[in-house]
Amino acid sequence: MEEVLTLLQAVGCPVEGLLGSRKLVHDFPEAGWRYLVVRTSDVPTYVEYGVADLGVVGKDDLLEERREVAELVDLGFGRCRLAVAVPAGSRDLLNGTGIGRIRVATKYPRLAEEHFHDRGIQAEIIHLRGSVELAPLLGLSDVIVDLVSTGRTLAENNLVAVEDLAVATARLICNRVSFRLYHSRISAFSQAVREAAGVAAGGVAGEGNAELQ
Amino acid sequence: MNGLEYRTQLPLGVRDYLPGEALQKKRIEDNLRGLFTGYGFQEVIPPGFEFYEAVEMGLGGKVEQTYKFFDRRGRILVLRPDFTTPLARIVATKLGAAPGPWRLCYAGSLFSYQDPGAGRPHETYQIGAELIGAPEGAADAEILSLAVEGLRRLGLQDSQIAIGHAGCVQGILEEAGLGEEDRRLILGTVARRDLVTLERIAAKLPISDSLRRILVRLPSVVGGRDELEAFAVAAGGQGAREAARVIGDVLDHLERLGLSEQVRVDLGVVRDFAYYSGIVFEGHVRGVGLPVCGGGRYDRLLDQFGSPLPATGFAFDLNSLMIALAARDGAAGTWATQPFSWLIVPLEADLYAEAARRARELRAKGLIVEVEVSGKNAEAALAYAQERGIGRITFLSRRPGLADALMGGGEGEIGPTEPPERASGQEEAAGPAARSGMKPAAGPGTAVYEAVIDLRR
Repeated sequence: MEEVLTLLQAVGCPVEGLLGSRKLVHDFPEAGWRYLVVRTSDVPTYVEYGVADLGVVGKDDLLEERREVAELVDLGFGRCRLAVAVPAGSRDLLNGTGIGRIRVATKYPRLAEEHFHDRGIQAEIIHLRGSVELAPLLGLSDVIVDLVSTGRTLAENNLVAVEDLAVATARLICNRVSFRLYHSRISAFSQAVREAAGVAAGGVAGEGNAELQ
Repeated sequence: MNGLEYRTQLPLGVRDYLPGEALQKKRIEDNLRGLFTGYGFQEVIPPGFEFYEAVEMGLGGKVEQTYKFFDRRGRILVLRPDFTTPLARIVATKLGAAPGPWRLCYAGSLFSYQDPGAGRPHETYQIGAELIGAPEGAADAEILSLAVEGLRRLGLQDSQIAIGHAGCVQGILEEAGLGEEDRRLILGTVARRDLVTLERIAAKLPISDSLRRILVRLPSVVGGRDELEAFAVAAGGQGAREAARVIGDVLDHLERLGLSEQVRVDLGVVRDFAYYSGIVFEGHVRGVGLPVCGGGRYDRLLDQFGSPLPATGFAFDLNSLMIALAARDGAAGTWATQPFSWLIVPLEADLYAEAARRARELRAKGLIVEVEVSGKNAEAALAYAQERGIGRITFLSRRPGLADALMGGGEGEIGPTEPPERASGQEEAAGPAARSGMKPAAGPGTAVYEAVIDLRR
């Protein structure tokens, strides 16, 4: 959230009262903006239906939700890997021949299913909404597919990442009809965002610490 | 689920249209049909299902989304996924003898699976037109005129039609010398308006920087002639420039007809189907997620049926149109409210024939008349009429007192022989107005009294 606010500020959008607020709708009529604060995995839905013209959401959620939205800018922050993680003692779990069916716990059922399908491994996908790293520990699954940033959470649960599915950063998305109807305003905004994001990326070394929820 | 639940539920993706919405749908169709007829288009009705082989060439990437089943000999059948392909087949195989061009139109439902969770219907309704046998140029302008006029006839001036041209993207891809797979990949990213991925792919292509710049900017060429001009100047290849010129010509034509206000250039419009070869366009209404209409030129489709003919066409999506109109006018009620409707209520059972007789007289004048057949009393009949939005009620009875009670003793105009639009007299502000006096009605035998109540507000 902080990074989004920093970005908005950098392009001249109002940000008063957003940080720490529990309000879900913030109106700035003079500036011509309304912000909706929603659950990150719902952002593509709001934008697809046109309830919001623009949205900021992680590429991981974009890939999983697969909504019909226009993707305008890679904002660069919130960088995480989407990876398969296995128990630390079984690094070669997915490399052997004759792998039977494995159970995969994940918040990203669609992406996980596609990945294992492509790998030719029969997988039973168990869809969890949170604390996915507990699943192998408790015997609910053999492996997990989850976001990794520093790797600390995995290590704490005796897991290790072995295969990457994708690298996810925050993206600016746009409703496809709005893109056309309000093209000049959105183009200008998108360009400003691109520049601000580029500046920010140039100034930051290494990965961010935030884990996307 | 037990048996009753299966009996009362519908499969995913289909719905019932209750009378209110069904009438709205019909009105839209009639309106647009009138438009097409005026331009000389004639309707054809292809079948609801065909052999897979007869429709597969028109499916683009959507093979998996068709509803398939088998006939008794094991051949694959497909529920109609689009109209353009069957119409192409019909012209190629059945109408070719007559001199072209052929102007055909159609209206009906299409079937395709959708992503679960997307909330989109699997059965959609289209009404559209194809102009077959005329080359690129005036014919495309005509199709676009139809689209613009159609939206105006429906009162959807707050809409926008965006025009692109398959040649713009394809011209650039040709010039870049890209292979089939790269082309498909890029077309996909442009169609999805995934500018981020497009940039990444373009960065890795072995093409010149200037070409790369044009490619990356393609989905952002949106606006009017200036943007089109700038693109034409920047685009190296002949194909892209030619395509831009065609768009310019169509814009000219629409301007001269006074139909260009809602039209924009948008080179990012890439229609799904692989067969578009020229102008492509989409129409959108503010607030409606899916396009309300779309189409373009598809010169290579009829060749698949053995008859190489140029063709262009488009269709309105009725579902999206209804959403747009509901957003503007409010949702349709359950029942179709008919202002020129009447209910005749025989308050004694033996008056049913008399009620039916009067109903026939009124219907002959073009009114919609219901006869009460379920034995309702006056109060129940009144409630029924109000709930259904019926305009007037006539009560028939042999008992003058009864009619009196209903009327509250008021004076009023002559009863049911006048059609409502010519009726005079003041409207009551609230509640049903009892406006007709009780009078003995004509007819042999015992007098029948009638009371007419006007329910219109």
